[in-house]
Amino acid sequence: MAVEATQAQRLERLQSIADRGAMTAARGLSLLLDRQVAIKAPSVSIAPVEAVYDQIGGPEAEVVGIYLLVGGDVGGHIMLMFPIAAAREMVGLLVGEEHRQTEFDELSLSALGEVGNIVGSAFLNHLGDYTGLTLQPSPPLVVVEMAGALLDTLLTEIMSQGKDIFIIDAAFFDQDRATSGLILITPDPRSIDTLLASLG
Amino acid sequence: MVVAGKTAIAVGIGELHLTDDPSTFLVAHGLGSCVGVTAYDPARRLAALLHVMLPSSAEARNPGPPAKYADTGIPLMLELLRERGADVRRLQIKAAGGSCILVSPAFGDKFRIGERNIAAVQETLERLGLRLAGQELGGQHGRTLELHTDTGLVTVRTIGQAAREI
Repeated sequence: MAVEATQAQRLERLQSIADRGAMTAARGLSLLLDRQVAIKAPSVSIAPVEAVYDQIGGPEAEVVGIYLLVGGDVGGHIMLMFPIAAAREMVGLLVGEEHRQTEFDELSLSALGEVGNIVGSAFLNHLGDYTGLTLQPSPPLVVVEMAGALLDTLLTEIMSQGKDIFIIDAAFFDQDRATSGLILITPDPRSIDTLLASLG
Repeated sequence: MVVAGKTAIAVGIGELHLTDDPSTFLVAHGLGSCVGVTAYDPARRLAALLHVMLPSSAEARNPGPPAKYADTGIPLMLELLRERGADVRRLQIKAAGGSCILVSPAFGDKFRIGERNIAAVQETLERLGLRLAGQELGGQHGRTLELHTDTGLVTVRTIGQAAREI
């Protein structure tokens, strides 16, 4: 007789999928940027963590947000947030130093979108492989905004479905081991049951 | 945090704060689709800031704090102001926020909460016979909203633009 996994076991599995996703994302970004990128082991939590943006300078800090909507068997959201300086540095590495000093132009925004694609697909591929779920990311949307306004937009969208919220968050580290960006991944509340059931 | 000699009182998502301490100002940082609603009684120098997250408590299974919702938060704010001696007819009520930051045809009907929050704030005020004396609602940018307890001055900031009075 099959024994159903407990919630704790499922969360543990999700944690290990997230860990592998972070490793793959870090490897992909390191290749893309041609420098070592580290991603802190993600944490999986059931409650929203308003404190997350304190890591990148508080709610009013100007950041680059890279957002992907996830569709398919499980709906969800992937948001990356980078302080402006960190985003400019990536732009310099990706499309050339001349793009680093100016306003973000189309080429810079599309390069940052690619960062979102790499990180997003790293997590989604591991999750899809493990669960057999089809997970489809939207093209990335890149915006320059206050960190709080981005998080607030994401949280209200999720909370409007009126259930618990469930967030995987991870941080990028630069070479000095300082936090240089955040990753938030969250399923739609109405998809949580499907997601957890798919974890065995 | 102290700015220009005044202490900031940060009002987080789903919170309501009242003060009559003239050395403070109330602030809602980084409003996206949330709406900040301020109320000020100039005679009593009593200030309130409500940080609305969602339009209606009726839609939620476990609603939680009433200040999270426009339909329950605004009446609660008025009740607490009245308890502290404010005259509702004297109140200057202003609002900012309700923007839609993540706009893309790929997102379908997602991220429309800002519009719904704005509508719910306006409907709730109308139902109570009140109107906005100032506002900066909608659009595509995040905002920080402040209400100064000593003067009743209400300002809004967005990225790359100077603070302005509403």
